[in-house]
Amino acid sequence: MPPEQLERMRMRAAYRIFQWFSLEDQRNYWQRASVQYRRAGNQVNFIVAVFAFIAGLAAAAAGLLATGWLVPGSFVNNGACAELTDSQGLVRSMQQLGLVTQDQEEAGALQEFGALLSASPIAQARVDGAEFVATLSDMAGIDSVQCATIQSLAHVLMLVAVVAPAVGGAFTTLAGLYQWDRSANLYESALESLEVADSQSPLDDMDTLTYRAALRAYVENTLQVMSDESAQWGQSVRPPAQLEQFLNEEREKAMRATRFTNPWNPGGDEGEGVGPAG
Amino acid sequence: MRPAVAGRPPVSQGGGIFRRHLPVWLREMPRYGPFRPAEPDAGFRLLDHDQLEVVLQGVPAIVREEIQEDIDFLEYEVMRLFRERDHRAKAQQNRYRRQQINFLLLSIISTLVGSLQLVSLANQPERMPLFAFLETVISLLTAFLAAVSGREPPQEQWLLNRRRAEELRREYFRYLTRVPPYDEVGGYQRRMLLAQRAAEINRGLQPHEMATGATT
Repeated sequence: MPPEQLERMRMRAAYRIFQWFSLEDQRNYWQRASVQYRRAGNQVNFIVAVFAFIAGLAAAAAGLLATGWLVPGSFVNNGACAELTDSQGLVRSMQQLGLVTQDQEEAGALQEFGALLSASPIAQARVDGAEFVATLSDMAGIDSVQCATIQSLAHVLMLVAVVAPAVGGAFTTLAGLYQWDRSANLYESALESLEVADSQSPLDDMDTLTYRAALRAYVENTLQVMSDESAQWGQSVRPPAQLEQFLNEEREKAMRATRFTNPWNPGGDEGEGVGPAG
Repeated sequence: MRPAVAGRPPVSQGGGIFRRHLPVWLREMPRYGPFRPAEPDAGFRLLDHDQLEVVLQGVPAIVREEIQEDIDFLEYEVMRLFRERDHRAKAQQNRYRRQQINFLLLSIISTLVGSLQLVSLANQPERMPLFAFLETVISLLTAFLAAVSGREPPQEQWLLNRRRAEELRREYFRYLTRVPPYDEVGGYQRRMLLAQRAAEINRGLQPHEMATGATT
C-alpha cells in the first residue's frame, strides 16, 4: 500500500475512534445528564412549592381554628374554649389552695366548688352565689374534649407552619448544592458548541492535506469544548450560602456553649474553640 | 462512517444502576458507609475492545497494529493514572456531598427543635431546658463535623482530581489521533513526549503551563 494511502487510512481510523469513543461518548453523557438534571431540578422545585403551600395552608388553618374556637368571642362557639381555659386556670388555683380535691376532673372540681360556695355564708355575702354557681355549671358543661382536640390541632398546625418552610428551605439549599439547573444549562451550551466542532469533521472526498487539517480542527475543537466545560466546574460547586451561614452560626453557638459550661475559662480563649478557625 | 450510538451509556468507571427506580434527585444523593468500589477498577478502559473491533472494520492490519500498540502504551502511561484520579474524584465528590447533606440535616433538626421550643414556651415552659440542651447538642455536633471534615477539604480534592482526570482523558485521545504535539514526532520520541506530559498533568501542570510551572 502506498505511504500516502496508508496515512489516509491511519487518519480515517483515528477519526472513527475519536468520533465513537470521545465525541459521541461525551455528547451522550451531556445529553443524558442535562435531561436528568433538568428533571431533578423540576422535582426539587415541585417539592419546595409543595412545602411552601403546606406552610401557608397550615398557618391559615391554625388562624381559622383560633378565631373560630379558641379566642374569646370566637365565631363558632362564642368563646367557650377560651372560657374553659380560664376555668382550667381557676381550677388549678383552687386545687393549689386546697379548696377542691386535687385528683378531680375539671368539671367535677367546678361542681364541687359551686356546692362549696352555695353552702358558704361568707361567699354568699360577697358574691351572688346562685348566679356564680350557674356560671360555673355552664363552664363545667363545655365540651372539654372538643376544645382539647382543637387546641392540639392548632398546635400541630402551628408546628407544621414553622417546620414546613424549614424543610422547603432545605430542599432549596439542596438545589443550590447540586446546581442541577446550572449544570443542565452548562451541558446544553457545551452540546451546542460540540455541534460546531462536529461540523468540522473530515469527509472522505477531501484530499489528504485537507483531510488532515479537518481532522486536526475537529479533534482540537472538540477537546477545547471539553476543556472549557470542565473549567466551569469550580464555579458550579460552591457550597450554598445558606448552608455556610448555618455552619458559622452553629459554630458560634457551640463556642458560646463551651465557654458557658467552662467556669475555669470565663474570659474565653479565641484560639481554643471547638471548630476550626474561620 | 458515522457510528450509531443511540442508547449506548457513557463510558464510566464504577457507573451502574444504583437507585435506578428512585426519583432523579434521590439518585444523586451521596452513599453512606464505605465508598464503593473501594479501589479503582483495574479493568476499566476508555476504549471497549468489542466496540473497537466494530469501529476498525475495513482498516488495514498494519494500521490496526499501530493503533493497538498505541493503546497498549496508553494503558500504562495514561490509563493507570486516569483510573486513580477518576476514582479519587468520585470518592471525594461523595464525601463532599455527604458532608453538605449532614449539615443540611442538622439545620433542619435545629429548626425543628427551635420551633418545638417556641410551642413549649406557651404551653409547657418546664420543658424548655430539654430543648435548650438539644439545641446545644446540635451546635456541638455541627462544630464536631466541621472539625472532622476540615482536615482534608473534600471539595478541593474532588475538583483537583476531576480536572486532572479529564485532562488525562483528553491527552489520551490527543495521542491516539496524533494531533499536536504528537503530529510531528514519531517512534520513541512520541512515546516519551506522552509519558512526560501525562506525568506532568498528573502532577497538576496544564500542558500549556508546563513552561511556567503553574499547578492546578
